Amino acid sequence: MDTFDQTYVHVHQLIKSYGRHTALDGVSLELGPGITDLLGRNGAGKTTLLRILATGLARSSGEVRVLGEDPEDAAGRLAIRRQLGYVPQESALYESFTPFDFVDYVAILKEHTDRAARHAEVRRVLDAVDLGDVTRKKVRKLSGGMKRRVSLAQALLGDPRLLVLDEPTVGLDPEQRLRFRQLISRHADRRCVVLSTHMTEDVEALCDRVIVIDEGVVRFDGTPVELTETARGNVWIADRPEPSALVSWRTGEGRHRHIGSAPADAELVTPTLQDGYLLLSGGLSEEVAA
Amino acid sequence: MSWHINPAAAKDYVEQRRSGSDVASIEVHLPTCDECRRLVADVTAATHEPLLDLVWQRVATVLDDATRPWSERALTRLGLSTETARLLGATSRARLSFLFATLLTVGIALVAARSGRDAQFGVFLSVAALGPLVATALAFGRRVDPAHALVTTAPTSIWRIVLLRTAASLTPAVAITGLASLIVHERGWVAMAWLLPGIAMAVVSLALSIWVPIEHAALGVATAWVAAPVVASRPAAELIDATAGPGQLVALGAAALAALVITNRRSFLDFRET
Repeated sequence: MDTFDQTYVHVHQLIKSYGRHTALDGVSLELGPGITDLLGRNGAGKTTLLRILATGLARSSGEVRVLGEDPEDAAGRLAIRRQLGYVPQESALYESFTPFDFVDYVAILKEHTDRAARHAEVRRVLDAVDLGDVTRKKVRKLSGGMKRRVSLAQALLGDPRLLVLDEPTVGLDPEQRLRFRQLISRHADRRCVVLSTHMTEDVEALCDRVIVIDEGVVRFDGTPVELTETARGNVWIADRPEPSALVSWRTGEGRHRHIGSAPADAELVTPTLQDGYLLLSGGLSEEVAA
Repeated sequence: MSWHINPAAAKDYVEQRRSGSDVASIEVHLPTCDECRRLVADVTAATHEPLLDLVWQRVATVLDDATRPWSERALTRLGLSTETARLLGATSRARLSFLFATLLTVGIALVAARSGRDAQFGVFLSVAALGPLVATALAFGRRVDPAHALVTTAPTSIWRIVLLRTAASLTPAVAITGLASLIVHERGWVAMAWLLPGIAMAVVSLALSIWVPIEHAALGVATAWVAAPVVASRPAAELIDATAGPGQLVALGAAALAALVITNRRSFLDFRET
């Protein structure tokens, strides 16, 4: 048996540089079946890593195996692409196309040659993301959330073994995010899904594993529960603000939540995944603050 | 009554291939026999469901075809497969803008060329040669293709896409400019002297796209082409002679060299992005 039956992604000492800027600096990880989230600030290196896994970007050095194949090798790259579903971060669509046309276009790129079978598959994936009713509406008339679902639909074509999703829930409303969780968790029963999302509720609800990347380096690799636990004993609720806290904000009940230092009369509370991430990353990043 | 319908007879009955007396006999028997009713029901399902699926798929395909964009339908009428038409239709807007620009530029250059003076005719040759180059640059790349990230990570050969789209842009561009050349036919074949350098520049920019984005490659080649007469600083008549004479051989050599590079290094294109 080849190693990728359980190890879908193997990355060792991966370095990716753009000129003088090092986007990934010695990243090592192994991914098996299940759902893994990459968490980190904007510019931390998540998208670079996802693009390398999706065969869209060459590494500078290190070792990468995806589904047992080396993306640097032309034959290996082709084998990966045949088993890959990818939602890029900037997945713009053709505005003059309908969702059906666009997904059909990607299906052709994915070598679905039989027209009747391809059209049936296109309808299946559009139904899966609840776009069965708007397959003939022009993309330019769709909402941002609908466009994101079109991107997701094309990634599901052919039931790929590896799904690489770069911020797939951006623009989705709470109900759509719930449906996204159902869809992806069904898919991940027998597949590998690696995604990046800043929605910590989605991570808690969906992911088996979370990897925190900061400045191109893996800072944490474990389960969402383990990341949450790193903040235990460091999260407080008090009646007043605390300037020396790492992060501090006023809650809906009018009290103040502190991570790190707290006033003398503060009460210790149960941490959340976001608390764990904030403590680990040393404070508010632009994206978590948003 | 102790007889039963055998499977072959049931199949013939369902497919309406039995004689009238057999059909009457079966239809008298069926209400009295559960076993035969089940058999006929099973055979009916097995016979008709695949047929229904097939009919439904055909209906769906006809409906799908009816809603395809007009540009794709036009391409299929020209003999292309629906798949190829769809691959080309994806960036048809960029190509339409380009065709409009080609018409405008060639029109302006022609007005100048019709004056009969060498300097203006030289401008026509320069501008006309840029058509194939721009067509190639607009065929591919992140700026003209919003779904570029998906195209470059799909199993279909990126070279196939590049060449298809280049051909789709190049063909009308060359046709329009070729027709424009007829208007200055008094110059003889020299009116078409832009064609070979134009195609050579397109192939060279494709070859350079192995290392740099194709838009940058095309811009560099176009700048060199436009700057060459300025740097040479020779009378227009001499430059026209050079383009129609040794320039043709240089263009042929450059195109051959670039084609060789493409043949040897093309696998690098789909993994070059930085």
